[in-house]
Amino acid sequence: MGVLLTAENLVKEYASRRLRGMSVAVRALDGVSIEIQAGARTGIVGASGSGKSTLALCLACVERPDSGAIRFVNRDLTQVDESELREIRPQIQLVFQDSASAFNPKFTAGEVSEEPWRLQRKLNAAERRERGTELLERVGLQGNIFDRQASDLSGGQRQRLAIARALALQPKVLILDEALSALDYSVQAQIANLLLDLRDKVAAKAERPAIVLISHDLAMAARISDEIIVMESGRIVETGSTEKIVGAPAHAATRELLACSTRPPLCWLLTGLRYRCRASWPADAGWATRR
Amino acid sequence: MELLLDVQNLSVRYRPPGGGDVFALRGANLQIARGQIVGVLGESGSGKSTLAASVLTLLPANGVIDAGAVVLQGTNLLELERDELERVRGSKVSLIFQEPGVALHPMMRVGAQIEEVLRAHGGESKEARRAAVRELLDLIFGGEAERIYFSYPHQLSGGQRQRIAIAQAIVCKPKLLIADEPTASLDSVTRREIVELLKKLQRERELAILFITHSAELLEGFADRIVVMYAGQIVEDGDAKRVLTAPRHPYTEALLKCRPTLRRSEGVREDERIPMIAGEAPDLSARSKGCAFEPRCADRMKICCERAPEIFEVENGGRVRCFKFGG
Repeated sequence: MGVLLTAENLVKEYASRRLRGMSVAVRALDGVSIEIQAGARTGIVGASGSGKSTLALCLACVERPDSGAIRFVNRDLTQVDESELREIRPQIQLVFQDSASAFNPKFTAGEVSEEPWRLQRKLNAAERRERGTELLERVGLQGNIFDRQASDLSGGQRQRLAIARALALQPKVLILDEALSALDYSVQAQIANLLLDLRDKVAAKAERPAIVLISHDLAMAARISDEIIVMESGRIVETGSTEKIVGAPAHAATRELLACSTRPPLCWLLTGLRYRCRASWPADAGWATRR
Repeated sequence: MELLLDVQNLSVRYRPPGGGDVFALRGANLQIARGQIVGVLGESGSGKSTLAASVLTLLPANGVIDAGAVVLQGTNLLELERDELERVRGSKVSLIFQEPGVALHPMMRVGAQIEEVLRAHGGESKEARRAAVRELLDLIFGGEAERIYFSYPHQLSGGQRQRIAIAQAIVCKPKLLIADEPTASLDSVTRREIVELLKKLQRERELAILFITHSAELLEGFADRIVVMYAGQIVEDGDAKRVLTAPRHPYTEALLKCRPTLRRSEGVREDERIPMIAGEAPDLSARSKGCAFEPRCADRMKICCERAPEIFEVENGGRVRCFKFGG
């Protein structure tokens, strides 16, 4: 397996808020470097405000970092222009948390799944319909769903549809930004199994998309990923194999996420011991620079 | 234990404009004792939020209460006049929601917003109100209370905003707090902190809490009793430890297994699939003859599709809606 996507020393600041005439910049990414292997499954975990979603947006070329480089297929994505990005974007797909706002609500599920090919002017109408049906079946949406409106589907069905659409153009990277978080646990388990299935169904390793799962839920990320990256306040604080992160966490932030993801052992319940909790707020962490 | 709230045979229906009534709540019976934390566990469409909203008759305009009573210390809240109800809301029974940002005024300092609740329910002097708010913020935020008091909502984190919403809800010292997924929009660390705060308030103020959630692990070590809902019905009710460690209803059992657990001692993640409940949540506008969970149930029997099970009493005051336990 080769390295597919690398980020080097990414910095991203949002300078938006004005307080008493002073603009305040939030440093969402503060020198982040990562490597995604082809076909690998990587989990990026961290608490709210740790910068994990900004990282996802930068990797998917939705946001441009202020400095640093993103290398993908011999190109630096921070330097390419808009026309080149149109070629690259289909290869890096993004699925968001809120599936309700991810589609045109008036589209049918079939239209949603066919749209990527239509926009790329690939395949004719009959082929698109056939491939769209195949795609929906692959994510477990069978039967008459093809002609139902996207807005009528349940949350789990919509998220499956979002994944189907993301897979239509056979991307090299599939980034899921908290894509499971808003779903019921029974539905999360279904979608997680779908992601695990993707690996088995696509035979050749090279064709399998690399999956980047962004989540605050370490238990779910550990279940899906081979490697885990832990972020805090815009920096990467720990990376390692899932076994290492779960079995021998080195950084305090990792241990905290772990403590929150692990069910308290039964003996705690019986002795009435309280949850392990963070002692202090990370309140000032994001307020990095003032201008 | 002294009974605080008694929900009797409550049935609620939504009437969408296009027709096709949705039966969101079907004959719910629920008792909450003084100072008790009751967790309501259920997934989307199980009727858990409808249950929360109908206790204070805060249903949306197309919601109809078909039958039942909500008795708070001898008074049926469903029969109160509007102005009487206004006096109960916020002072005897309070409600907090998932999204604290929506509950707060963006242009008002949060200290003043908490005070406003006291003012609306009348009585005390300005100084007394201010002192009460400060005391409450000290309890919730400790050393940071001063800064928080003069902050605007946008200057606070999601967890801090939810704490402010909680402060607003309990400043009039209600007997019951209804929390409808108060932690769903927060990350897992902050979630635990909110739960910890609610537990502290329960201890110090003898506050009963109806905690509505889809996440069983939040209820561990927190709730005294757990009520599990599915398709508008209570399917299991019992002691929290018992429900979480030895669930009786097949749905509860399957739901608890859906969560991947980190086996730290082994360290290595097993690579098989996560146990899941196949199929989709039921359509609430249609009524099936049999048990609502039957199509997805692993333990289904012949009787399950012939008629619907009533809720059966089991030992230790538990209740289960499944033919495995009676009928």
